[in-house]
Amino acid sequence: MSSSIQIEQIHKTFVKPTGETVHAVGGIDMDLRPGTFYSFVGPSGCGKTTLLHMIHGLLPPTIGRVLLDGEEVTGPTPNKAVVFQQALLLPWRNVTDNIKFGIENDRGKSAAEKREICDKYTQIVGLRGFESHYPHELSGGMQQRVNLARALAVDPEILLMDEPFASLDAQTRLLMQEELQRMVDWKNSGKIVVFVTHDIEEAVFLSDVVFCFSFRPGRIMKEIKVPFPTPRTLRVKEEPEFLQIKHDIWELLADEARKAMEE
Amino acid sequence: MEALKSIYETQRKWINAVLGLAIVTAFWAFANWQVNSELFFVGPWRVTTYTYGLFASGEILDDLRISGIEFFWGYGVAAAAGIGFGMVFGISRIFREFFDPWLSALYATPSVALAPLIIIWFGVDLTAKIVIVLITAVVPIVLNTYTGVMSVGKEFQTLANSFCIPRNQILYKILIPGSLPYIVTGLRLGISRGIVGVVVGEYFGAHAGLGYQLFKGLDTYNMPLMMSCAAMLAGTGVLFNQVILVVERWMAPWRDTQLQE
Repeated sequence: MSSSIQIEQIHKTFVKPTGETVHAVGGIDMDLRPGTFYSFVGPSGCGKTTLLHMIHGLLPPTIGRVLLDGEEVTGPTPNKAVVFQQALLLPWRNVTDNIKFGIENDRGKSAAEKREICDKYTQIVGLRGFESHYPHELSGGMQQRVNLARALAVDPEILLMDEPFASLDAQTRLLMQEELQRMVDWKNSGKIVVFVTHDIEEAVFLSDVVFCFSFRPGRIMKEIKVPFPTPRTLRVKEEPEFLQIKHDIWELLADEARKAMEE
Repeated sequence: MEALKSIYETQRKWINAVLGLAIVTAFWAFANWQVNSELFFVGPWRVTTYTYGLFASGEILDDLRISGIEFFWGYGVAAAAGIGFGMVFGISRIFREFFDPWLSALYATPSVALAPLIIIWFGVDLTAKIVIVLITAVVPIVLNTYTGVMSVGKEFQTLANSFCIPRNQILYKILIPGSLPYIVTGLRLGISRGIVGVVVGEYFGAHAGLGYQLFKGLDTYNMPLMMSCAAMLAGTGVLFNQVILVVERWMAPWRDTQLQE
């Protein structure tokens, strides 16, 4: 089955330890449909990661609510999974055991099934042969592959990705962007993917829909549909229409980024 | 020559350690030659033969046994209690707020200062010594375990939370393995402090033990006995430290050796 998400007039305010109140998210509505890749782009501190965490239920909204198939989200559930910005692999677990992290409590699956799932996603993210390696023996790109496989292994309907490629070098990053389409395969699996990034090009390349965020308090300035058919190859980045979309988004975000920089 | 060089390159750690030992021993022997009085100083060779003699005659075996019992009980309880309390400190904020000042106070108190009190409370027999070893060794174990739990990033708890891992499993899936390197450091520091505890405990009246022999040597101007006991205490410390390191490498193969103390 595939799920959909409604976000209704969501606000989030934080109180810093200094007593200062920060209005991070300032009234966002969204309707997320299955089988679609969404990106959140915007300057630092625009509340995009905060919104991602609220969708998963890691943070409660101050006002408003997130509905998953009509039910209010109150906390993390196994049908959603996060790919974190830092790989956050457990250093004392090898690749297989890290991938297993999210499914080892699942009583509906036998040990053999769990092993099969781990094998499957190890294969999908291209880490065959590295099963017994520990995180410190892996490159940054490989660590992010484990991070992704760990989230995919729970077979989530909602895959939440928080700048997963931010710490990778430029070349690895391009290759991961291309490969991600095959690894996640949202069109066929009906998953909702939410991808937070600073990188406009990355957002346009991967997404069906790009949400452009304003600086604090984060609001949606524009929702842009990307028309290219999927899966895409890196060559699409050179097409005039792609460059035009990228340019338009930059026009929109430049002022916001300046505000963030002056902060 | 090339062959020698390559042997040195591959084994340099060991070769240099042996050379270092040789240098110190040479200085020691030289100092002994200069002092040339067994009342004040004893050379490496004499310490070795004297120690051998203590073993050969069997007269030191009982002391080793007594000190060993004191150490193992005291240190064993210190390790269990230290790791346990350290975990509680790391996990429970309210416990931390109540008792952290007391832990700091205990850390700042020289445990030697508590030894006479313990002798009064527990008597001069084995129990008192075990308690002294316990209180000297427990502090670094508690503190390091506590620091270890605190050092496990909040983001790992968020990770566990996001994958719906229940709270009780966070303890053994995240907190214990995450703080293991610190726990090992605490256990290592606890060893040297525990050995201090053995000596201090035996200073306040004892019938046997390495510390007892050391102070007997002091009373009888028996420098070879004193230096032999000191060497045995040092050797024991080094040996136990190595044991802990081997255990760590076995339990925590993901860590390369680390040196923070």
